[in-house]
Amino acid sequence: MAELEFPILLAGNVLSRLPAPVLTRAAAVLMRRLERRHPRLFRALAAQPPMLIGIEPSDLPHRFLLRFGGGAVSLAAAAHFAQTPSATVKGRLAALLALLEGRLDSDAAFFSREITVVGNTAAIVTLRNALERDAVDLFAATTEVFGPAARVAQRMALTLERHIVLARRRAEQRHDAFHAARREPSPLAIRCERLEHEIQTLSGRLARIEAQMRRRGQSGKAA
Amino acid sequence: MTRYLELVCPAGTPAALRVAVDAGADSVYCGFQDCTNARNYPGLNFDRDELRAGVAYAHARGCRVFVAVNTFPRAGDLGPWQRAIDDAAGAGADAVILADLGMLDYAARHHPRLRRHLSVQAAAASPFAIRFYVETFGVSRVVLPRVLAVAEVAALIGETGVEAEVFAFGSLGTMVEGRCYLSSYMTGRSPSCDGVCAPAEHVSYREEGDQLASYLGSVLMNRVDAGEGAAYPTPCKGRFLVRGEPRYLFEEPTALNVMPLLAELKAAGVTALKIEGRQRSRAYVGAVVAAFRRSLDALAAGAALPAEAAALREIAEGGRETFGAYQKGWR
Repeated sequence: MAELEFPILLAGNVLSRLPAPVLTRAAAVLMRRLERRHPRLFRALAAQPPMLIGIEPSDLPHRFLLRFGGGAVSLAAAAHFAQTPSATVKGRLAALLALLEGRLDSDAAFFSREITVVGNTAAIVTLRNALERDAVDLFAATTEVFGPAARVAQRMALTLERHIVLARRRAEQRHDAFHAARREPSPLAIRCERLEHEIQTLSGRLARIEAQMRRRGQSGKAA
Repeated sequence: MTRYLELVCPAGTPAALRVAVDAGADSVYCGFQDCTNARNYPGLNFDRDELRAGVAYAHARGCRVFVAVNTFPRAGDLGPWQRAIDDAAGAGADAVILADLGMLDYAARHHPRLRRHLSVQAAAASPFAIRFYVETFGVSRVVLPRVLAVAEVAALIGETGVEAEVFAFGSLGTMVEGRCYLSSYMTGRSPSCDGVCAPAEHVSYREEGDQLASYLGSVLMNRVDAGEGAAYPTPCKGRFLVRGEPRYLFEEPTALNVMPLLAELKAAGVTALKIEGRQRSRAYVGAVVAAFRRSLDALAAGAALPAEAAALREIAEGGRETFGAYQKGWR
């Protein structure tokens, strides 16, 4: 399992801004790095019959095509699939990356519909079981590109992630506050307020009546 | 009453074995990459070298390894099953889990010092059957089928004195175990002989409007709405039209969880609790084994059981849990 959790918001921000050809070139570099880190995984995938898996992160503008079996493993980004994949897995980027790193149980994610699988299930099961055999650390593989400064890059990425999380939280709070200020009071609240006002008025009148009665009683005794 | 409930955990891959051992398994069970075990899925299971390494890893941490060779051999093709037993013994496994009479006999004759556990696939649910296996093949432990109430488990153990292992968490088997051929009828492959129910190459999911439809071959097994949980399209969990109404006839997508029954099972004399799910992920194995480890430790210490319900429900099939046949509420 990954040593550090992938900075998912940062990744989402970066990935959604990059054009597909740039992502495809970056994916090729990443695949080479992953192959060096996980030779057994790549050998297992290469030994399979040719398969094409479509990956659709629901919160990104890109789709990805993972090709394995009968040769090298490749990952390409595209706006649309040029070829029909053997199977497609869909879900939020965070869920898909957690599956890749073995942090999320794929069956539970499937049962709860956090991810959706469409098409040839054998292709997906083969890929899932191959990934289950190796603990892929995508964050480490990604930051490896910085060489000796990989640790620094990781710390910077995590700091940026924390800033994004805080910025999002502040934006959510402002959004909630703005809507709370604009929110019209509910009919029940209006009714409660009116009743409260009536009770106060009646309490005041009662107090005055009681005072009058006390004064009248005292003047009667005096007479 | 059993003094200590042993926790027997699934290991579909070497990585899952390490996770199970590290999370507190007393024993793990696994199988080879072929039709000799009942979880013969693509990319799952161990080759011979991986098993030897897995046994070494487990033994170094005080954990035992059982090898499932629990399918029924094809006529005239005993080789893979005999090799599986020989190689499990050679790798230093602590027991083999067997179902077939011939394989029990083979193991007893060729590896008399290797413990023989009777697989749930043998469906031994009566004192007569259990005594037969114990007396004839020297079976040390019986994995009881998931059709017995706790009182029936207690009675069986009382009558036979057998070392009993019962299922504690995971998928249910409502069919007579080892005798189900529904999958074979539809796909030509069955859990009993090929080690696979609803093989992945026959399963497909299709989006049909807002619904997700699951097919086994060309047969529609289920169709779920957008907010509804999905399930495996095994024949026993298909949704069938009954008088025009779609219903789960045999089994709903629900997971067994005996966590609240641990004290009862211990009092019934159960020796070991089995977690189902060799086909599940490392994340599942880690979560379930750790949750049961905490609860069994609390039970052994006489402390209150920790609240594990929500975490386990999240990974349960269908997001729902049941006591299955342990509490036969319909009686």
